[in-house]
Amino acid sequence: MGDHPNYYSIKHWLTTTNHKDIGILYFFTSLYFLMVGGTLALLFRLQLAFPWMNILDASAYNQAVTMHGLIMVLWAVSPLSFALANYVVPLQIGAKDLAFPRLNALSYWLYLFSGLLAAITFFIPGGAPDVGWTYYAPLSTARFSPQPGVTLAGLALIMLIMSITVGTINFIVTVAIMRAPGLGWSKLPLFTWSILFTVLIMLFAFSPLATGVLLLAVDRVLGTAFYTSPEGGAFLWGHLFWFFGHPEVYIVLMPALGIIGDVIETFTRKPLFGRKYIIISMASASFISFVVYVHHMFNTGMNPVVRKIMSITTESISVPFGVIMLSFIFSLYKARINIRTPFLFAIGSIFLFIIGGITGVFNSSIPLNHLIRGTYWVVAHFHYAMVGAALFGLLAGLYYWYPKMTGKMYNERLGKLHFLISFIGFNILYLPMFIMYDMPRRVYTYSVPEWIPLNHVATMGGYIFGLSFILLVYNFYKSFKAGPQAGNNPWGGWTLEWMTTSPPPPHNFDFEPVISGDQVTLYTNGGHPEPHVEHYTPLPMYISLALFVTFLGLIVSFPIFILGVILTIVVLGKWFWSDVLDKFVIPEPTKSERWPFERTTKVKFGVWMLVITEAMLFAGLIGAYSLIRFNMIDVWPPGPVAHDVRLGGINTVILLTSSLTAALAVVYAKMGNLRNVLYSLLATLGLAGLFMVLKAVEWTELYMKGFTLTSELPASVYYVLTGVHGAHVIAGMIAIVYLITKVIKGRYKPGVYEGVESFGIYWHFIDIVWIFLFALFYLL
Amino acid sequence: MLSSLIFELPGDPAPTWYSLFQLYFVLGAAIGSVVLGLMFYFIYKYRDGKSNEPEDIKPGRIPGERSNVKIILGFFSFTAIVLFSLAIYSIPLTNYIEDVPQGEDVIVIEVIGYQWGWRFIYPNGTESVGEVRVPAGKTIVFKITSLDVLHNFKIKDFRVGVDAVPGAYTYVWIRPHQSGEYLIQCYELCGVGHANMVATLIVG
Repeated sequence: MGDHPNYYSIKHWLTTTNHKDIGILYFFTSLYFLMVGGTLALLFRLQLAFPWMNILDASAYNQAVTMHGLIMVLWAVSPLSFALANYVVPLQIGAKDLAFPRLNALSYWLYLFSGLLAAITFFIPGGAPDVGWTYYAPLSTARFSPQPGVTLAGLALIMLIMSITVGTINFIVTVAIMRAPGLGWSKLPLFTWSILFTVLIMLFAFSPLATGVLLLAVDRVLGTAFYTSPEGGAFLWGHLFWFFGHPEVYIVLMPALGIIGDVIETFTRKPLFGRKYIIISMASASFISFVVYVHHMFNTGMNPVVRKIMSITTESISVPFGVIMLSFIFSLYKARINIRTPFLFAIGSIFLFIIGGITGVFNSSIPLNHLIRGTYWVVAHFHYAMVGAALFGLLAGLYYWYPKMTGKMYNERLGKLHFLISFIGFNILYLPMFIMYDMPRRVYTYSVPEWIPLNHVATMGGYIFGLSFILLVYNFYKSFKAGPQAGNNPWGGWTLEWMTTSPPPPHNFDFEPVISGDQVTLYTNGGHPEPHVEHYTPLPMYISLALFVTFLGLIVSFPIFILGVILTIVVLGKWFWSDVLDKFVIPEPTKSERWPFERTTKVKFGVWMLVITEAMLFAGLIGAYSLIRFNMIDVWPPGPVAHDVRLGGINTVILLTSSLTAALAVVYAKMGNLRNVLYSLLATLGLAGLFMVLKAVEWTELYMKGFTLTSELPASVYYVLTGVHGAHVIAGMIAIVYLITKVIKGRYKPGVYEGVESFGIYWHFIDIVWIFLFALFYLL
Repeated sequence: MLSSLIFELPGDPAPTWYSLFQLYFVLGAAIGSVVLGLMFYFIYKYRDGKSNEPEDIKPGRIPGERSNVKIILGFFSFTAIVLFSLAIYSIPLTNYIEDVPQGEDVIVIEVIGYQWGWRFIYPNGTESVGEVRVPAGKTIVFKITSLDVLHNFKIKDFRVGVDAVPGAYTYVWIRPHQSGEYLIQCYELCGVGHANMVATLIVG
């Protein structure tokens, strides 16, 4: 610590943990992926300009559309909103940083390396995945798409989900318990609210996707048959993917809505109309987003009653968005509108969202859906929603906060020109696609002559839209070099980020914002702001690099894989050790507004969030189990026949006893009896070890009997579920070793029991999961 | 209406589909124009220099609530009523399109999608690849499955389509009354040959 690298040095950017720096890193990285995804789009738009174009053959075309979708949705648009969230949210809530700055850096580096892992598939034999970004099984299984790129991009996705999980937990904890004194929930700016809803959706949506991708990876690497057998197959993937896939739309969209809210308030000089109801609508939309996903599977011949119910839930999700949009528009009534670039982009976003939303209602109608599914109508619709509404909203945010981030004002005339050209280009690109509502998407050529002029126009629009971004890059670059000083609050905004300097100091505020009633007061502490230590660490970058090497090695060459594993262990060991020595401690905020979580520390809160997302992971796995078992109800061997109930029962007792010893450890920690904490932890470790040994014995016996991972589907399900659980037990054991080391090194003082307590929460959760697994596999 | 003048409708259930599409389209276009029109009117009317409204946003002050429960409830009920009436209105049309006709005079043709083509099996057991012949005036049911990956069987001129799922059957029906040749195409990415996975429906 202590040594602060120069702000402009490479070392600074590789080791920083400051949320503003991470935000800027996110910005440049997402801009890079936006360019990669955009270039792919321009390539295949050119291919489609005429049916006789010969730029991409069928395979290259499929690779381009697949990677365009994956990169744009997962590595470009959503991370761009996290660039802004990272920079702005801690400022808006008056915090010095996020709750876990080092984990924030880890989020970023995992994101960067996962994106590189996905992009690298273009350069390995067999090329990039060409199965569509939805990765529909069985096309994505090894039988139909044997090329390693499909697996590698899947692994990249798993790495990205790690990044997202860490990031989500970080943001939830930050917003929940790090708000400036007096900044109650009702006073939070809309952008912060929108990010909170975004990360809450992410917390629930991404782990079922992890389940889906994990099963796919197991299929492809180890040869199981989750997605090639009709019992799992297309339906299993459909459910796991779209449970994530539909909420993902709102993950992409929600931050844009928040930005629009803030921008409208600032540029109309009036409070948002129906602010409270906008927030309630956002909350209900977040919830409903999880119960509409089946409309993506209307065409698969599933139960008609379920389909009709889902058709109605799908229509009902338009209601909260209707309220949000109408409230935004009503906010302009009797306002004093200052038409600047951020405002124009916000209005553009509303305009495009209304078109995207109304055309989305068509999709909820089952008969209309039958025809427009898989056509350019759908392409147009979701681009209006996800590119139009989301990206234009994010651009509004970029122009809005540019002066805060750089201290310089951008060129207004160029900004407005960028809006005009991109808005016109966008509509020339996507409006014709609504007319092509019967042309199939993802085809590299077409035979119907009526489609030629429309495609041609769309391609021209695509180039206008794509090239308009040169204006943004030029404007931002030029203004950063030679723009006029912006001052602290060029727009006269009320939110806290405008009350500090532009750009803000590393610790965000030279004073402490305190809110009472509707007044923000700045306490300067007599010119001595609370000390803030900047932390620098290369570990997040190293760990992401090590995982990158591991995953790449798994696909490309075994020695590289081994190297990656060794690197990962070494770096994890370093992280572990630096934590044992308390090298990276950020004190708990003492004065912050944290209702109703006054009694929860940030680590404990984070562990609770982790438990939620882990529960969703196991829910996905158990869902897969249920679907498969239901589909093979007559041939699935009953639990007591296939498995040794006695052995399983003994193991259950062992694990439950370890829960007891873990609880004892917490009790002793609270009493300050460190010696007994040590003994209880050792007992827990021993019992967990015994559990794993018995598990290994059981697995070996089953293997001997021919009940192997690939022998039959029930066996695959059993091994994957108990295997994932076993991995969690081992992770818990590592945590115990960490706690024991800390106790032995005398790092725990009596009265400090946060670590032991947090571990206890996690451990009880693992044991509860086992009770479910025991019942599902051994008893039923 | 308009669409029947512009497009040729070669048979059922295309007219039903169009009537539903038209309803959604007209309603969507009307609501969209009104809402967007209102937005532009407000921007025009209250633009800076023309508006004398006081500024209520001040740095360092949390703005108060500006809302009117009645108006918000109006937004809510308006959206909800429009959407639910649409949903209820579509139920009989949905049932008409979704319910597979049964009976003596219905011709059931099995369709097998594979990478990359369509095979048709007639009721008498004969097979054909890449084209299917059906008589005009009869109800035809296609009983669809896939040999390998997901496909999507679509006859765009009849406004029908459904996924071809391996290990399961899905159904669409048509009642052609105009002889001619119609394009059958796969609408779900199914591999390198996807774009050329076509067949011809010959009515006559």
